[in-house]
Amino acid sequence: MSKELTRRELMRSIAAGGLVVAGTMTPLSSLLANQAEPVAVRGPQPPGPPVARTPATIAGGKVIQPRRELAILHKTGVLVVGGGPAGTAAALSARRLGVEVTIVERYGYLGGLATGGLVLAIFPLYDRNNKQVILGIGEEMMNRLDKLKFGIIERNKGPVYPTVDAEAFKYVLADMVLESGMTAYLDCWGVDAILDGAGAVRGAVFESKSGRQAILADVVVDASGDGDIYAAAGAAFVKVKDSIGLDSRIGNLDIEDMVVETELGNQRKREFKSGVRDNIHGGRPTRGAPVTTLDGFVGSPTPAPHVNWMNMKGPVADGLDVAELSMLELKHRRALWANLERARRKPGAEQAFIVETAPQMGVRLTRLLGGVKTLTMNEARSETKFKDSIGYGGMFGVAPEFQIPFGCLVPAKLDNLLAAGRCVSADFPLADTLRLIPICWVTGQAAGVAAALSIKDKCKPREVNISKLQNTLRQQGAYLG
Amino acid sequence: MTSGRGLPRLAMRWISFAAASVLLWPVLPWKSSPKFVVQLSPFAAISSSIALHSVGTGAAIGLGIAFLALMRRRWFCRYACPTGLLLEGVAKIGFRKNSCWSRCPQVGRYAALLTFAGAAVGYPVLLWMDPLAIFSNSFAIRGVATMISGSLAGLGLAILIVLSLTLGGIWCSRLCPLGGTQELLASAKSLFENRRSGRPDASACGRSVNPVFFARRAFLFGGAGIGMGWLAERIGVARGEKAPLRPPGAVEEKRFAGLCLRCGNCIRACPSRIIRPDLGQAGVAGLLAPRIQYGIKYCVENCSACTQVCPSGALQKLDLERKRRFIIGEALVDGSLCLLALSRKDCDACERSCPFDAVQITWDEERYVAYPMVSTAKCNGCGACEVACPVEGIKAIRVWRRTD
Repeated sequence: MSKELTRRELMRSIAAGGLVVAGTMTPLSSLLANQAEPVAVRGPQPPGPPVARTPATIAGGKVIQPRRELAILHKTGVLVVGGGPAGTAAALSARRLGVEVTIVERYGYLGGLATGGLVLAIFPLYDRNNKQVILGIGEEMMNRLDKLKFGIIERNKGPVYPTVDAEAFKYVLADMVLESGMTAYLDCWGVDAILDGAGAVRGAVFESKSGRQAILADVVVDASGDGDIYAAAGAAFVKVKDSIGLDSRIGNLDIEDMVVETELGNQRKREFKSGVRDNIHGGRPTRGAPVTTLDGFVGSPTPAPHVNWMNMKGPVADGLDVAELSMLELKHRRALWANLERARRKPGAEQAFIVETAPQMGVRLTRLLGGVKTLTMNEARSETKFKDSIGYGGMFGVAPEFQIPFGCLVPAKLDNLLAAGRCVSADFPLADTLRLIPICWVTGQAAGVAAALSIKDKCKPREVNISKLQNTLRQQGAYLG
Repeated sequence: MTSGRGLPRLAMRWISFAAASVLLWPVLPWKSSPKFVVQLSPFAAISSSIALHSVGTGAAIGLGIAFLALMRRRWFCRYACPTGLLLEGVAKIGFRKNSCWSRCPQVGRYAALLTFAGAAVGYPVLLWMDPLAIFSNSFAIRGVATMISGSLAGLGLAILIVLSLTLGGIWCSRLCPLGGTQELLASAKSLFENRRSGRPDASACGRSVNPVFFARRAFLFGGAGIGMGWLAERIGVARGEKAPLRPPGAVEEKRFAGLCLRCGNCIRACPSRIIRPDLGQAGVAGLLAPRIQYGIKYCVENCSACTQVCPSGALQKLDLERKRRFIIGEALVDGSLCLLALSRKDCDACERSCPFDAVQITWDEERYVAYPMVSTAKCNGCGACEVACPVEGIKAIRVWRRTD
């Protein structure tokens, strides 16, 4: 009897161990890969293997976190921290070169601000002649959106730029990541860098429901937007502040707040069907703030019918200060509701409701890398050409389309890490353009390809052969002029 | 005139014609060259000097020519006028070489009188009839961005050509105020000489100058000129915010329309092609005077070309530093059209485009919305923001005439 019991206990503990492994370590890809997995049992679970608990303690009025060993969740070739436009572009392009890729995302979906931030405008894509200068992975994503009903509007109509549907985009990215065979961890927040004895980055530390774990990697791409990993690793950076808003979608609109042209006397005047007008006769506006109470906004159209998206600029705030961010997000939500109630007074918007407020606030810029090369607005305006160009940024206002050098992605000193997305190396005025979604695709794809090449060629990321990098990017469909 | 003197005279006329064309056609590195062609005109020089109440350096050439015309009757017409040469050639191939107009009075003289008198009250009434300005303006065709303005630029010369084709030499001998100015000078000279010599009826070309008759005409047309100048200034000139945007260096609006010769030099000089002839929006007195209309380009900060080429002083010459500070107008934001203010797009094109950091996107905590704010102290109305504004049709940020 005792023997049988022992065996049953043994079996049980093996099954329970398997469950724990499945629960904590099974990446998204293996879940759908038809692997044999133990059937989860509903109800109380048997105790797992003993885990050493090391809670923080108060010692002399200070909170001390004890030194402890971290579980290694995973080992990989390229580790991409952040699943926004830059992160997904980096991971997908690296994976195509046959290296092992792991992507880690803080929220439960991919796309970052382009989906969860409801920054639905894909801008800037075009040069001064309305030729599209941002292609590659981003173009592939948009091609997939093209095939979906209500996926994307205003495609290939430069200088008018496309608007995407956030949910369609989340689906497209999930599909592409699952297809690629990379490892993905969602709801998993990169909190620290792992350095080796020589000071080079060897991975990153993450917090998730599974606790604090480590992922080891040959090369890390910091696409966190805030440069969390390079900052933790001690790389040089400039901290900046910018406006932080909260975008939203408003639905059940009878009216599309499109601009209509009406004949008023001899002059063609424009008016917003539902809009407020400062001066109905198109007369002289006043100096300073607008005269009318600008309120009751209903935004601009999205691919989904009767649903508009609304941009919010927001005040200048510190995107790295949790207290400030929390208060701001609460105030933004309150303001959006107040706006909805005002908007409902307008004809055609009486039955409107907020479809969603963005799950993540529109943090524009926080940290700018101190890179091998810091790209400046003057260089962009004067159309400076770079030998290590990895792509173009589109035309924006008076600034023409401009080349982006690889040096912007490489930290001045830190090895085995590349930055991608809004936290790359640039002066503040230009970073305000580099942060935009299509340009994040460009820096993301370049960082991903460079990281993969450095693994294949067994060199540091900063020593990647530039012509090989550029050729590979071209092979992947990127535009390099 | 004898055939012996005819050949050198013809050669000189052709040289003048070629020189004027070269100076007007912007092939020379000398950017202010076009203004010297129009400055040759004594008619324009005298009118501008009267209107400006000062003899500027620009008027020196024209006054010099006036002096030559005092010495030799119609010297300019006979030796230098490019318009005259052109019209004479045209008249030769014309339909009618008759002179049914031979009894037509010397309109040019009275036109000149009218203009000088008008200039005394601020509006030189018929200054735009200057043949050199008309000649110069025809070169502006290539400088104007639209069909309407472009064809208007050549309209003056086209009318003169049609006139010469149908009626031969009527312009030069009867209508031209430049010729009339020279006639006036010659008459004045002969009157003066007659009084000194005591002979009442001798004049340079045999026609008698009756001092009483002359004085009466002068009084009549002078009075009419003053009246018309006064009227034009009161009624024909747009005021306040209704006045159009003028190119940098423009004198005050009520004098600008009168001082401007409509020579088209500024229109032609503008690399951004934003200077267009006014089609009467600014009142009849301002017809065809240059105004700024921002299109695909704005008044760029490293250019002062238009201020270098004005022959009359309607646009004062400005160096780059002063031109940057010259106030063309002010940018004002119409919140009802602004994509940012309406929460439609995260647009900051105006802020990014401003060369003077005059536009600032401002967060309004009370209204919970952001919009562009223009610093009146920094804005000179260059139009960079208006050009950059992505709103179709009427832009959300536009440059308006300053009213203070």
